[in-house]
Amino acid sequence: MESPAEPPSPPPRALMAPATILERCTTGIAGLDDILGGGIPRGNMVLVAGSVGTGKTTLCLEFLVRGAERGERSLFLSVTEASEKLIQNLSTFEFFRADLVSDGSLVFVDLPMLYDKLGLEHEEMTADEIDILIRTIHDLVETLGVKRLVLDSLTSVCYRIRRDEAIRDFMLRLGQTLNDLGCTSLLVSEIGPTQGRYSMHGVEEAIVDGVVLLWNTRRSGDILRVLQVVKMRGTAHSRAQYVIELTPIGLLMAPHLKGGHPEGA
Amino acid sequence: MVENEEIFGIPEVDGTLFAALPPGWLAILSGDSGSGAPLLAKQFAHSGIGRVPVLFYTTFERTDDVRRAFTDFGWDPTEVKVVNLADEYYERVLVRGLDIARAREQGLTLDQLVGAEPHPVVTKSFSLTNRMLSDLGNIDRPFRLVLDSVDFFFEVLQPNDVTTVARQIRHRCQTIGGQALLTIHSVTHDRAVYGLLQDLADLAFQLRAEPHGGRYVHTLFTEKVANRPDLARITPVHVGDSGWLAGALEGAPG
Repeated sequence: MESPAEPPSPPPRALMAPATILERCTTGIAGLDDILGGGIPRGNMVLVAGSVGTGKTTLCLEFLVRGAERGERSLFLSVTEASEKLIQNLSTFEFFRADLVSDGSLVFVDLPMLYDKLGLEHEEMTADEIDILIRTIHDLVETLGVKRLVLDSLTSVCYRIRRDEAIRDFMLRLGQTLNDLGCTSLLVSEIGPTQGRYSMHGVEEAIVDGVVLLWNTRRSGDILRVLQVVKMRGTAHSRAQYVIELTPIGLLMAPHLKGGHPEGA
Repeated sequence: MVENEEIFGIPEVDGTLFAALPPGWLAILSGDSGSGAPLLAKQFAHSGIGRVPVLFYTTFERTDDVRRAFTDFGWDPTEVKVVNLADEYYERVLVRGLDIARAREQGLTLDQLVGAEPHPVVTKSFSLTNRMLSDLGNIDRPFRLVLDSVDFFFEVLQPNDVTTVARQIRHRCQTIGGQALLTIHSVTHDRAVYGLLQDLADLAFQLRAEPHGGRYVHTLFTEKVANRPDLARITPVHVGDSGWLAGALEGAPG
């Protein structure tokens, strides 16, 4: 898969005021923090885009587990999969600690439950309903003191917002809300394997502070998972491609060597 | 033909109406507040007991109050299936609405989201229409049905949907020989829709209470008998120990 067109980037660092070192949210994922110069700038909202089976959810879960281990309360908002099943799958990884869930450091909330409680079941959310959703997420993050949040997936939420301008508004407000609360967030974006952009509507990547792209590529009969940090506001970062391996101890990264015999996406 | 020659059990009103009616029919009974239409609706239900299954859908009384009203006039409520649509609607739809309003206003706690039970799935598909029609669908022989009153449907459904409900009930009546009475306590909702209901009905009754001296006198108007306008009539009625009876109260105008 070729990387889609580059999303809007911050002004070149040379044109910016004297560099300020932003506080980092260490992902705890071996290799990724190195790419990012120590981690994601605190409060950034990052799109984790990729097609099915590329490791988006696992990356996000490890990000939360590592955070919870560091004492940063972490919240997983799940739309597509029931929390119970997610935790069950997560328990197969050695890096997962069930005690983080039981002591409330790692919290799973099913968004459909939230929709149910708030009566947000219409196929297309109204402006008022979007406002309620943002306010509820804000309240949860603030009340629980959440420092890391994953929304899996942003695509599912945007599917019910539909209009580009409403999605733009939703994301701007969500990003501002989470940033104000010092919460670093990963939003999962489901894209097709050959889609030429990072999100369903194409507006999402313009709003977020960062884009991490994941895709599958074939090489010598194997399917490799590849990760690339396409965009990250507030830090210099490598844009190199890395092969990732989902191992029991977590996500491992290695440079994606250009040799070999690629067989397409 | 259903072997049931009583409509309300008031011979002067029932008269020869049955002979003029098809095997299955729909009647409407209108009456302003205080007219006594709910009691006449119960009498209609009572008149079916022992002949056909009787269903009584109430939308504004407590179920116990419906049964007590039967008992007060010596009618056996145990043979009537009383369904409280208002309670069901409240429990399954309005309570949820209140929960949602509270959650939206006060926010949600983690306890309300993690490990909590969602609102019952049935609430999402609850429909007054489906609730009644599913009951009717389970009956495969002549029946008697009262919906007291259709006013509630006007509050929660679009006017056209109310006529659709009436059409569906009538169709079921025609298919298996049912007899249904829909009461309308107020005709102020939508005159056009009320007119449609009247057109749809095979029988249309109106119960009126008029002040006379120090009391009210009641008159039952048989306004419509499908294809038999000659059977329309006006009958003075009053309430006796066993329900509505024909005849004016002593001292009332004849």
